[in-house]
Amino acid sequence: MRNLYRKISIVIAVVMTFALFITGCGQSTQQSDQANATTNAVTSSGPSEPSGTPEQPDDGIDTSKYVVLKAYMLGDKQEDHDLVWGEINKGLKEKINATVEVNLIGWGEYEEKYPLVFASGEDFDLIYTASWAKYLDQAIKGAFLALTEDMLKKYANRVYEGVPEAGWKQAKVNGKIYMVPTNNSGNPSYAIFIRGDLREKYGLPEIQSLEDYEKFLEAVSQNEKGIFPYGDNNANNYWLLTTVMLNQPNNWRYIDCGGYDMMHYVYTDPDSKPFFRYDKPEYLEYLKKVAEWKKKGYWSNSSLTEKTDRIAMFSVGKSASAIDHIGKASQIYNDWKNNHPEWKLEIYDSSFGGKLPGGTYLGDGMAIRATSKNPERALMAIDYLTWEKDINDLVRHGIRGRHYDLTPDGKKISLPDASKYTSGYSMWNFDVLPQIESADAHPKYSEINSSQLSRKTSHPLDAFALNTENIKTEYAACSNLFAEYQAILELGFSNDIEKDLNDFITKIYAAGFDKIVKEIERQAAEYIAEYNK
Amino acid sequence: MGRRAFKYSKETVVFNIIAYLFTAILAFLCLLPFLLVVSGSITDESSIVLYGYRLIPVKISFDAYKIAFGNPTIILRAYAVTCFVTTVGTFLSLFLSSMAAYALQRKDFVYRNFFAFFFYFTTIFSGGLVPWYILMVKYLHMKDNYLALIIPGLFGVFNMIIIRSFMSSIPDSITESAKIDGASDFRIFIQLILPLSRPVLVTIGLFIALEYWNDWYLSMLFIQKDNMYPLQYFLYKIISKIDFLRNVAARSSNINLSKISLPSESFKLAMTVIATGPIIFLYPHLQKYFIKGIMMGAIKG
Repeated sequence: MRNLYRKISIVIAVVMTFALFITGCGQSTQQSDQANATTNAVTSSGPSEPSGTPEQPDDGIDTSKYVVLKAYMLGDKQEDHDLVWGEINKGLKEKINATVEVNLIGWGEYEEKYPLVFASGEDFDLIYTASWAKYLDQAIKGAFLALTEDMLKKYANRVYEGVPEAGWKQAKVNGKIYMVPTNNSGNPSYAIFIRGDLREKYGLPEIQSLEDYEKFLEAVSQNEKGIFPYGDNNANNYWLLTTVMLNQPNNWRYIDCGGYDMMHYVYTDPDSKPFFRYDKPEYLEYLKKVAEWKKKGYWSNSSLTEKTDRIAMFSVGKSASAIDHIGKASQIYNDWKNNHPEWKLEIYDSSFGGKLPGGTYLGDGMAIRATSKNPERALMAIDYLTWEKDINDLVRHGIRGRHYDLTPDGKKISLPDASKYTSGYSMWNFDVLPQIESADAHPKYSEINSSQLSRKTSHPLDAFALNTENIKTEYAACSNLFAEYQAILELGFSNDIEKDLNDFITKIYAAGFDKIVKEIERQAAEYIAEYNK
Repeated sequence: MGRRAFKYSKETVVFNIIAYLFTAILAFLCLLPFLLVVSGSITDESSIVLYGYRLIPVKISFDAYKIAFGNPTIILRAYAVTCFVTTVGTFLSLFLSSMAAYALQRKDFVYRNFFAFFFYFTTIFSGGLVPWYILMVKYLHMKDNYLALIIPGLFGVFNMIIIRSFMSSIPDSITESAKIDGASDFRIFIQLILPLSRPVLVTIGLFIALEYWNDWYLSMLFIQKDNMYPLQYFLYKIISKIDFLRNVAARSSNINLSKISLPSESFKLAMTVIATGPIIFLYPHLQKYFIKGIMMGAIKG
């Protein structure tokens, strides 16, 4: 009897352990199954009412029923959020008899909360979405309403006209449009920030080319021992030196592979296909140049493990130059006015007059929930929030007289209460062109910005993003290798460049990189075919 | 005479010195990170970037605290929420867990094995995040509700098992004699068993309280209104925002993301001090219960 008890308990123990393992493995698929089961794809065609003249949105549209639209946006709740949106809703109620109730999902939690909000079947109408904020994922799952041209022309005509054709093309998923993009494909170029006072001290010319920049770095490295000529970090696997020194001169741009520079394309050539840049002679030349700069001590030895933001380093004077988004110039410019008036901020176009990649219009946008009960009113709300001037001004800048004011020549000044309503949440899809200049921006900012905007090109692959579903294992293995080797090679830390580069290439092909290449080529070809339809 | 009853032998002295030294160094190493946090929180932001974290700040500035308390209503409200949730949650959770533990250790409870297995079984499986979320929000209507912060932590099966083990070491004769005198089960529980179980209750109570105090996950999922945020959630939001800005935003070519201001390092540290401060002060008071609890268990064996 005792023996039997023993045997039974052993069997139960084994079964229980099995159960533990199976639960552990089954967890992730359970989640996505649930998500798929509880969302339904509803594609609705335009309503059957006759459409009036496109210029008057109210024509032929019934706005007699008051509707409260629920919207989700990303970001921090601004202090004066309720105040400003109260005003916005007053205007909206007057014009389209609807108000918008905004709920915010914080930056750190949108990864978890965003899909949850759909999967749990919550009732809402509008939601912010973008190429980097789960647009593709959710569009495929059928979470968003498909917007037809008729619907857009009838309910959101100004938006429809405002977004260029490339934008609508980019927004298509499987032939249907699921979001309203912004009309601003962003500034994809960067600026070189330098300490102007140091440049003048050593009598150097303005930076019009890479050679000029090298002269500046050399002068600082020789003469100013406490500052690094250039400061960078390894916090996000993305070194702007590579962009400025290698990609830009050759008109190369990375294909969006989830944060790793696996393949590139030539953005000035509309027929360009994805290619691998690491075995090209230009890449090797670049690596040698970077290693040379590193040896001369142009940046710190701890750049590989540096986590501090490069602009932060530059603005406290740890480095004498930095390369970053031109939008950060104003922040430093104003900071130095107060804290370091003897330092001069100079910014230069890092593209040195070359052509710039087109960028994506999907960087910011609004989508309508597939199961929304008031999709037409939601579309109208998007239209009014974007193009109705007084409402749009409230969304973009806050309340005039409290948060900002305009100078006689139309520039924007921040008032003391400006920090209570900033653009620190995702209202940017309403922040359309033309932009209002800020009176306390760096004097060169708008000149460089508009010059760069005028040199933008457009290529079908601009908004393409790789779907790694079929190549998960190879992708995981290769991305680790990219993360490991790219930093060492491209920040100049390698002692034997050819050897390390060959090691890198051999290793990734051993990890199945050719499968990734085929997958990228296949997806890109499909995407281009769709895009050009 | 004034002489000690016995002399410490030489070996004991040497051993004591080494033991004390070793423990002291270890204790200091444990204390070091916290000291860095405190010192970092009162350092000027630019000197952190220039010189890194130092034990003694290069340049002292209380800016981080000024920003944190700049809108004191938010922080004070968050403190209030956290204290409320922790006290109510701990009290209820202890009560429920110990009741269940007592019932399960009573040998005259016929179905105790079934219930023990049932409780244990629930710790093996979970339905997943989405079904739980749907249950809480759609069916139990616990969104934006303090109940959502309290209820999920109310019954920890492992806590109950620990309490049960302790209670089974209380002699049955106490219960029997009380029954003979005519006491109801509940009265026995409240008036006899609970006072005797004080060590384990305090220990488990502290664990539960720490869990409630440190929790941010529940508020992330279920709380939308910003006047209902607990303290840890604030800290979590700041840190995850920094993570987001460093990784996603920096990589993305969306220039708007670069307009989001990065919370400063010193602010992050100041929030940490604010969030963990009370616990640090509370610990020494509870320490004597801990020690008593450990010693009690040792003697009983």
